[in-house]
Amino acid sequence: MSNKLFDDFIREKIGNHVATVPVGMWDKIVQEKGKDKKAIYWWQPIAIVAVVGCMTIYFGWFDPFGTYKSAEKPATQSLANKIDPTVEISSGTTPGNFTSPVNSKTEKASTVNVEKPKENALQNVSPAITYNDNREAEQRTNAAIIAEGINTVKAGKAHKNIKQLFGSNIKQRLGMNNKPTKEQAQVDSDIIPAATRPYYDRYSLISLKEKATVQNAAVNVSLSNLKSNLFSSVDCPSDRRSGNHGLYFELYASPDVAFKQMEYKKVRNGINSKDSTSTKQLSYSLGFRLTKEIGQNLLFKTGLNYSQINERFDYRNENERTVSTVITIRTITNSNGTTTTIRDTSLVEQIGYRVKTTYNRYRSWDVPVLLGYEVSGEGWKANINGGAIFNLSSTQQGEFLDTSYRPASFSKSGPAIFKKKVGVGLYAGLSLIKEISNSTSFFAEPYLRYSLSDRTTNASPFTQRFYTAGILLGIRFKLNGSGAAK
Amino acid sequence: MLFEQYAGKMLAVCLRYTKTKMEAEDVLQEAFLRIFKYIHQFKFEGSFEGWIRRIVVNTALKNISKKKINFSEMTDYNQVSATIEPYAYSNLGEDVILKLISQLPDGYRLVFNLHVVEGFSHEEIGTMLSIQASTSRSQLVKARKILQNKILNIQKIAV
Repeated sequence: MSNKLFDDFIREKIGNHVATVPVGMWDKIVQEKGKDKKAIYWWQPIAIVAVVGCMTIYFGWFDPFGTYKSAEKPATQSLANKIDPTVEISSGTTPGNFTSPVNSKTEKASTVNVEKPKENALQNVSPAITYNDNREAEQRTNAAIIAEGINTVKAGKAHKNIKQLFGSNIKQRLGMNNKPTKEQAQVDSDIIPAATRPYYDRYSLISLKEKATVQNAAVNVSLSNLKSNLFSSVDCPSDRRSGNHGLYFELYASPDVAFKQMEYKKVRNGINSKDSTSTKQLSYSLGFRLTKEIGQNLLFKTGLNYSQINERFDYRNENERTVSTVITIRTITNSNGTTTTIRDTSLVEQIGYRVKTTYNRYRSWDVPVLLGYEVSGEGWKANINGGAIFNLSSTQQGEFLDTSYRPASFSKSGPAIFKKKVGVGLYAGLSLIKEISNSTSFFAEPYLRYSLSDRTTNASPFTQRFYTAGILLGIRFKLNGSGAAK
Repeated sequence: MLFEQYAGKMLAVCLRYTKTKMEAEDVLQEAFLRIFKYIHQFKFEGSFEGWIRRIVVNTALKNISKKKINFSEMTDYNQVSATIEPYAYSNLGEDVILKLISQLPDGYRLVFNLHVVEGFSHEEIGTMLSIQASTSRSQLVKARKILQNKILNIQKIAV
């Protein structure tokens, strides 16, 4: 036998030899691997949900325009350069803010920032309208009136924004259409400390405007417009919690069906049809959401979602060879009575095909950020929800057909053919909510989710992305307020 | 899944380069740690199994390099029967061959494995083991002769 034949023989015999791996070997590797591993990622979704939750609560429960506190805190700044020409500032208030004494029974007063005029000349003009010092109002110059007009128009614009934010029926909800009585005004001044009392109240303003009208009749400024603008600028709720801004916790699970878009980069023909099939299987999602009412019918939703897409991959391996050892035992007894046992050992090779089945798993952790519009009936609600889904982490395991028509495996620790973070996806859903008790509701939400980017990396021989349809089934709990769950 | 698929084959590779099973397991463990660490560097430009195998072999060589291997020539096995018939191999099992290879001196065993089983050229082996290519060639010839002699002896005993 030549050296080449000998080498070939040895290579054939032991080249693909498989040894038995001792039990616990993988555990050892995992243990060693864990030592090198950096900080694990379990805290990341919790941190993001906490941050989003805090922001939701902050924007939901507190005045996002943030001047409530400053109204309570006496300002020590000089008023000389920061004075708002629109209205006179009483001592102890922060310039640039309107404060409205809207409810005689509440200590809180909402304030709205108004853009300060840029013109220096106008800034230096001493504002005229004040409830503290009527003499200044009488000495107001025409320029001051014009400046006032300009700024009240701006204030009017700000009011429009606020109206959009809080709804058009805000006056009714807060009872601001009712003209307050003198007793109510007295209660206001009793409840609100002098240092935090608003710059003006509507009663004194009315009289001041009437005065101004008489004294400056020659000035071509429509005081009626001015009046309406000034009045409208203070139409904002004193406490948003007095509105119907509920906070809900939603817990859900969903059976999903995922549709795969897959395209090989270099192979033109359908490689997937070559001796292999991938079949979609029932997938699922589960998670929780915090839902916050941010307007009369508007909802903001965020939370944490886990989804798993299941897929079955079958590969038919042709020319599969199986070698069996057959031992034939024969017993021969000769004429002397001696029995001889003969063992014949032979190898039988069978050639056929084998179907290999692998279950692929695509797992994702996501944070949905959704806006919803809610309509309601008696005992039921319906939401239309839409928004973005931000992927925190994605892992995959399973097999795919590579460009050489062979199944290749992938796993979360495998070759980098899939991204660890998929990116942003779009979400749309229609939620039907049925009230089952005062604070609990059941909801069903058919939804569609689409990933904007591929799950695969540039190194991957193919591109792949999913779009998923499902129906979220869950329970909604009302977290604040005593009213019925919505 | 990756481990399950390749661990058996790779342990067999390790066993060919080490003296004991425990040593082979240590090499395998270290090799898989490297595989998981550098798996993102695999560019799909060849067989994935080949890439893994190369890492395992390199890890085994690194492990061996800690010991000083003597690549000196041995003359004890020069008198080898030149004619060994093909039928003599027919009944040889994998385990027997592996056992025979493991009995080779370290230097012979290394070169034989790298050239015959893994398919490296003598120049590559020379670079990997820091020896001359000619040394690799002579070591291979000797290893082959020793193995053939051993196989012949087994056949004689069997007959």
